[in-house]
Amino acid sequence: MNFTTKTRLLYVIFGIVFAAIISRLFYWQVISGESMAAQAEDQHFYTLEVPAKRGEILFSNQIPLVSNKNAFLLYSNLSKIKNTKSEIAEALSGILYTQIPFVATSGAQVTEEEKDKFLKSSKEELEKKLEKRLNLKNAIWVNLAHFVPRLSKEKISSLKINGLDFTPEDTRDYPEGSMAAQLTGFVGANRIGDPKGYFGLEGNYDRELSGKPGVVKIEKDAFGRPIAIGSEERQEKIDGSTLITTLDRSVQLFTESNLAKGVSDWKATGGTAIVMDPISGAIIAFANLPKYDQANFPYYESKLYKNPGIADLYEPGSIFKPLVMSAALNEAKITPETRCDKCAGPRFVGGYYIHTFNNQYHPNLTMTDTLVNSDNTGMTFVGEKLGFDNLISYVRSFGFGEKTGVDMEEEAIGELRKKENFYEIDKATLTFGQGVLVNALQMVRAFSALANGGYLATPHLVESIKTDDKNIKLSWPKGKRVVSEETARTVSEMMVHVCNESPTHFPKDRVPFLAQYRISCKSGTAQIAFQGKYKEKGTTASVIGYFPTDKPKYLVYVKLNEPEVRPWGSDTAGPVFFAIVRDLINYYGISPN
Amino acid sequence: MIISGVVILVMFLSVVRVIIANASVEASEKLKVLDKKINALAAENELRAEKLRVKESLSALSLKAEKSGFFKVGNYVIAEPKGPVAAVIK
Repeated sequence: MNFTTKTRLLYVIFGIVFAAIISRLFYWQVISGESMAAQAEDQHFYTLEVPAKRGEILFSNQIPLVSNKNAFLLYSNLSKIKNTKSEIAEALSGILYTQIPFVATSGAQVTEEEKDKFLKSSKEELEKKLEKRLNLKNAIWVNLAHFVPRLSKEKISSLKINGLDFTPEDTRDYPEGSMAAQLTGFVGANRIGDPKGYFGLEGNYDRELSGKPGVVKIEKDAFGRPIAIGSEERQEKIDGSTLITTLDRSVQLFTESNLAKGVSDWKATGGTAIVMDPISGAIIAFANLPKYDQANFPYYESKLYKNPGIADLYEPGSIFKPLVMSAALNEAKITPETRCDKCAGPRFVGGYYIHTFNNQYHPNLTMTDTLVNSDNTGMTFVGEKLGFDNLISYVRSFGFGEKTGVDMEEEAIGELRKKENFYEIDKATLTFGQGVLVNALQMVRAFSALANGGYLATPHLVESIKTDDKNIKLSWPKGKRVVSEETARTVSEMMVHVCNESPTHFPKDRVPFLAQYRISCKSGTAQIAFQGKYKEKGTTASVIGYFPTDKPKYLVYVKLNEPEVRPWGSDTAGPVFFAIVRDLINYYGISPN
Repeated sequence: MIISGVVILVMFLSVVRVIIANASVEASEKLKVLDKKINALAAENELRAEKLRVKESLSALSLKAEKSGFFKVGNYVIAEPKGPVAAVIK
């Protein structure tokens, strides 16, 4: 090998080595640059995340509906355990099993024996779970229980078991128990285990409530000890904002208790009651049954998490009638004194007979009496006067088939059929609230237009959002005008007659005496559509109304699902409606008229 | 000359650093004690707020009232004024 060949060979070797170095550098710098940088940073710095405090949810008077409280994460350092794992599991389950709630179906009769049996099985189940965790292979640290209350922590600490320790963690506190459960929603964990709000206000305002966690980066030496004069980077945490709601604690309490009494008295499967200011759209109370306990949400069926007042759709029945009546009045097709000359008996429409609910007929009844008697034949007469195109256009204008704009998740809107898909009979039954699916809050929003002089209010729950340094007042725009002020006033007067004179409505022995007050109202009893036909048994019983009629301030809506004792809205939802009205009168000190 | 000046300056600065570090260690000890006190007070404050929330709970108060025998009246009596409650005597 001569000198030139040797030199060339050397060049080639150097070239290969150089290329190898370059490619390795390329790999380090470009391909795995990010992970290497992260690794380097991990070697040089401690990075600590400082969790932000979740914002509170307050009633309108700033008293907490949802707050935070200190709890503890119980964990174990497995290498330090000295007792047997089964001993530890037994001791811990003996303290922690009391945290597992006893969940029973609403109204269920449970004996003490059954309760004891449940507690015993809960303890055994928990003991097995804890023992399994303590026996995890290749694990050094294991989490044993989240959100351990202070009292349980003290009891566990007093056992002086080696290898167990606690770290503080915040949890949600519900001072009023499960009050307004479906409005608040709850806080669970997201995919990586960070807290996240689900459903209701917790879900809808999760970003505002969560805030932003802080980060502290401290330089450390080769042994992992922090360097006192080393560099330190600090990003302060931003605590979550506080929501100030429109809910009134007292009104929410008596609305819930009146609804619970109604559901229990009439053996209903559930119900909804709403109290709203029809002018501003501020929701003062929103009660639902059955409900769940937010603090123990995993133990309840997930179908209870959604707010049925916005997520469940139903046919409204007769409470729809004042809306159709207002449309015909607004179009000047009728007046309250217009008489129905086709209401002497059942009406034959599109191959079907339309009857009244009690098979009693009133020849030449006025439009006011049509509402007072809740007369279906009278309503088909109104529908004919109004015309179907007008009718469907008003139904849309009243907000059906669209979202109410409420600041909660999970709203179902109920699509309206296309005009061409309505048969003659459907056009007739729509006038008395059949063949249209609505949610409870859509009904409340539609009636706000009759109560406030003609425009749709935007229902809402949050009035303002409070951060550390400012209070942001939310603006809830006034909706579009649907009917004129005069029409709204006229229908309101007609509904006063319904409240006062209705022969079948509101059994006097079961409702409080409120004769001195002018209240506009209407009840409804609707069959329940199920798999393409109506259920043979079971109704949706409801009442909607507002008062004082001359200057309405409170719009109240009550719906009972499938009351077993009696099917009628006036008989069942009626007493609940008037009990809420009575309590509102008392609470706000409203004088008669 | 310059070298000895630099050496003296370095020594002087080292002494200053030790003095400052010493002083700040003392201050940080005080800060640590204060910090502990603040944390303890904050924890106590939180605990008291928690207890207060439980005592203030309207649902709990209403249950307590019910157990104590209070009940809600179904109908209210509304007094209608028949004449002036007080009149000016001339």
